[in-house]
Order: sequence, then C-alpha cells, then structure tokens
Amino acid sequence: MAYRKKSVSRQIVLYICVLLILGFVLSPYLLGIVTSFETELELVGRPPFPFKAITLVLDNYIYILSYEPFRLAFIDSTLVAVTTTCFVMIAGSMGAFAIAHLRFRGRNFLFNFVVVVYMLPALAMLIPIVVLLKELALLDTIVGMVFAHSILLLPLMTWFLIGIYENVPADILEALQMDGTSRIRALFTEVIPLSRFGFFLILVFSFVTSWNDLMFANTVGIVSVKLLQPRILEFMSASRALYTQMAAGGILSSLPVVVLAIVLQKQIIAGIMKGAIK
Amino acid sequence: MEHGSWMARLRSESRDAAILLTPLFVFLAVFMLYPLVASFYFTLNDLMLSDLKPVFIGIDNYLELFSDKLFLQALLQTLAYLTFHTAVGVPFGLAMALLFNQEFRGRGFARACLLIPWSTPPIVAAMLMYILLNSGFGSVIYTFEILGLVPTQFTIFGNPNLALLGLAVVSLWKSSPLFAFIFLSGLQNLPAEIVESARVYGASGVAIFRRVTLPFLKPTLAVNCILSGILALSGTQAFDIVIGITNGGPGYRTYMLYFLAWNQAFPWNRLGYGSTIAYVVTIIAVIFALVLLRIWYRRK
Repeated sequence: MAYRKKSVSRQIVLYICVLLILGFVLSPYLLGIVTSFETELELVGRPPFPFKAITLVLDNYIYILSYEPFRLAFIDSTLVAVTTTCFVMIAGSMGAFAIAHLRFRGRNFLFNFVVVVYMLPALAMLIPIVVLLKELALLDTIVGMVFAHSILLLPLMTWFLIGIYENVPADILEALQMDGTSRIRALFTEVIPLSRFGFFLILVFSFVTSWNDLMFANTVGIVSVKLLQPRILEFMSASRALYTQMAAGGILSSLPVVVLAIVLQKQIIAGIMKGAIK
Repeated sequence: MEHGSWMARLRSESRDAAILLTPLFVFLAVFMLYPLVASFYFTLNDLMLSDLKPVFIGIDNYLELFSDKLFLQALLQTLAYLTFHTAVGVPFGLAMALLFNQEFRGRGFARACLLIPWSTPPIVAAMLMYILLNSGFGSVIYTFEILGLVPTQFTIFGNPNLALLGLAVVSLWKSSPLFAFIFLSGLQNLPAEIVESARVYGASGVAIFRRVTLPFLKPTLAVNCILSGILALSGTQAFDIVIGITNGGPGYRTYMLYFLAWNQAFPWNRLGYGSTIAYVVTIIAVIFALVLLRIWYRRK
C-alpha cells in the first residue's frame, strides 16, 4: 500500500517535470505563432498575450506572402537546399561506401582528411571559398550558393555515412559480387535500402542544415541571391521592426523544416537511437 | 591461379573505388584542399575582398591579436559563454534525457517535441526568443514583472551585464534538446538487469544514478561536452543568435570570437585578420576537446 502511494506521487512529480520541460521547449514557438496572428497595435499594447484576450488576424501572413523578396527567398532557399541535399547524398554515399567497404590506396588518408575538414570551423572554410567564388564569378549566384553549402555539408555527412554503411555486413556484399552485381550497382540497390534509417536521417539533416544556414547564405549571397534566413535577419535589423509580420515570416520560414522533423520523427528518433549520429 | 584471381579482384576493387570516389574527391580537392591551404596562407597576409591582392605581412596578424582590445574582450566573453553553455546545457540535457527515459503516457509525443528546437532555424529561434524576452511586450519578462522579480521596462539584451547571459539562455533552448537526444541514445544501451539488480539490493535512485548510470554514460557525456564546445565556439550559437539579437552590443559586450572573425573578414573587409581569428577559434576548440578527453581518461 505504501509502495503504491509513493508511486502515485512519483508519477505526479514526473508529469509536472515533463510539463515544465515541454513548456520551456514549446513556449517560444507557440507564442511566436500567436504573435504572427496578432495586430501590431495589440502586440505593443500591454499586457502581453496570455494576460489579455486578443483577436487573431491573417493580415501578417497576407503581407508577408505578397512581399516579393520574401517569396523569391522562399523559392531560392528551396532550390538550394534540395539541390545541395541531392548532391551531398549522392557524392557522399558513393565516397562513404568506398571508404567503408573497399580497399584502395589512400583510404586512411581520405578518411582522416574528411575528419580534419569537418573539425575546422565553417568560417575558416568560408573565407577562402568566398575568395574562390569571387574569382570564378560565382559569388552572389545560386550555383555558388549550392557549392558553398555542399562544402559546408559534404565532409560531415560523408563522415556520418561511413559509420552507417560500415554496419552493412561484408558477407552480403561478398554474396552480391558472386552473383555478378557490380559494387556500384550494389550501393544503390542493396546498401542504401539496407541502411535506409541512417540514410534518411542524414538526408533530413542535410536539408535542415542547408535550409537553416545563415552565415554562408548571408556572405555568399549579397544582392541578387538572398535566401530565407538572411531575409529574416534583414527584418530583425530593420530600423523600424515590424514584429508581427516578422513573426509570420519566421514561422513560415521554419515551417518546412519543423514539419519535416515532426512528420519524420519516427525515422529520425529511430535513427538517432540506433546510434547513426555519434 | 588463386593468386591471379585475387589480384584481379583487388584491381577491380581499386577501379570501383576510383569511380565511387571521383565526385567526393574532386570536390574535396578543389573546394576543400584549396581552402584548407589558402585559409592558412591568408593569415599571413593582408587581403581585401574588393581587390583580392594579398600583401604578405608575415606573422603581423598574429601579433596584432595581443594588442587588439576587442579581440581580448571577445576571447573572455567566448570563454564565459562556452563555460555556461557546457556547464549548464549538458547537465540540463542529461536531466531531460533521464526524465524522458521514464515510462509515461505521451512519451513519444514528448520526445518528438524535443525535435522542434533542433529543427527551428537558429535565426528564427533568435527572433522568437527576442519577442518572448522583449522588455515592452515579452510575455516572459511581463510574467517576471507581475511576480515582482524585475522592475518595469526591464531589458535583458540592452543591459551590458545581462546581454551575454540572455544569449546563452537562447542557445540553451536550441542545444539542450539535442544533448538530451544524444543522452537518450546512450541510455538505450544501459543494461536493464544491472539497474534492476541494484534496485533489488536496495540501492536508492540517487545511488543507482551515481554508481551505475553516470559511469555508463561517460563516453556519451564526453561526446556531448565536446559537441557543446564546438557549438558554443563556432556553431550557429556563436553567430546566428548573436547577429540576430544583439549584433554584438550593447557596446561590445556580446562580441564573441567567431562573430568577431566574421565581422573582421566581411563587413570590415580584412580577410587575413578574420582568418587568423578563425584559426584561434580552431585552436581553442582543439584544446577544449583535448582537456576534456584527458580528464576523462585519467578518471578512467
């Protein structure tokens, strides 16, 4: 009986703690959504939202969606993130598979090189990349942006993929060879489907990193290519900040990645739990 | 015969490896080997993006660091930020993981919620937190006000003594759920029998945590601490959140090395000096990781 009582109070404490953590994790996002439906006048008038009733309006979303630079930024960001992710997953998978399963000269060197490049802060890479892109006349272009993002992502993602493909048993590859399947074919028909959890996780990780990046986007894109995150920054540093419109823009620009994370949560959590990322 | 086929196999393996590695290798060589060499060379030069004519100045950039007051200030602020991010963020992530490892209804949903801060673009995270913590209409500050914890018109990001702490709290929102996930994946491998038998022998929850769980999680703890260091030194936590919320201010009170390096390189057009500071960040990251690993191995 005493044990039972203890376990009930324990249960209550547990739920309170969980609620507190969820409050901390979710409140910025939920209150941001509320702000994005408020009018400017209601936002600045005290007291703030949870302490007064407010009317929700769509004006901020109408404003931001009819704002040409924001729409263009959304399209450009999608283009860059999708292209970068495709390139990184293909080139990274091919390289990672070779490093994980084939013997060739320079294998260890390549592996170490990937790790060293990954350890360097992105900025140390960004400075020469900007110089190189300027010399190639690719600064401030979509192509230049895709290059820059691929450089940001490729070493890290290749490194993760090596760990994932190493888990594919060598016997399977051996058997496929006996059947006359080429290794390159085997990568796409067997290895990737076998490691789909990890592959998926890295794919989402690549897309999210490219989409969320501010530093590279803000430096490589100057005038003609402004991606979404630099646009949000522009809003924030404008002299007269339009908070409610800004919130609408922020919610919209985080929507694809947050929705992606929530829809794919099972795969992502399974991937992390299986130790794909260490 | 046996030997011949083995040779043929090895040769075909090298050929396949060559095909598979070409895209990665070309990319690494052209776009990474070059930057790796170039960025070091830049630290020995004065270089502007506008004309791209490097002027060799030897180690002057490195010498300048010692007399650069802003650099020294940013260095101290970086170390404070790094310490807070690791000393508070990692234990907080561990607490979250232990909590979310318990059995309760809605655990799957709660874990999925932890993905939201991780996936939110850092600049949007900065924006959401800025709205929340605004002195005029921020709900959190207002709550503190009616609780009598702070005076009216209380500002965090405009206060020279609090701005850095405010930024650290914002990055905590972004990083600690990630730490929690990594701890959770470590906890999956914790052998349940050991915990169970400890409990049967009457060990208290605290004792089990100290004697069983914590030693078991040591490698994960080391990974998280190093990750925390990298994020606080040269992650989005050291750039996006700073440029979005305070832009280094008030005064220079929230300048951190990474942010300073970017500012030197691009807005102030000193690519060589910016690269030098970026290298200092690298060195600090390596020292931080080595010190942590050393502590970890000695205790072992």
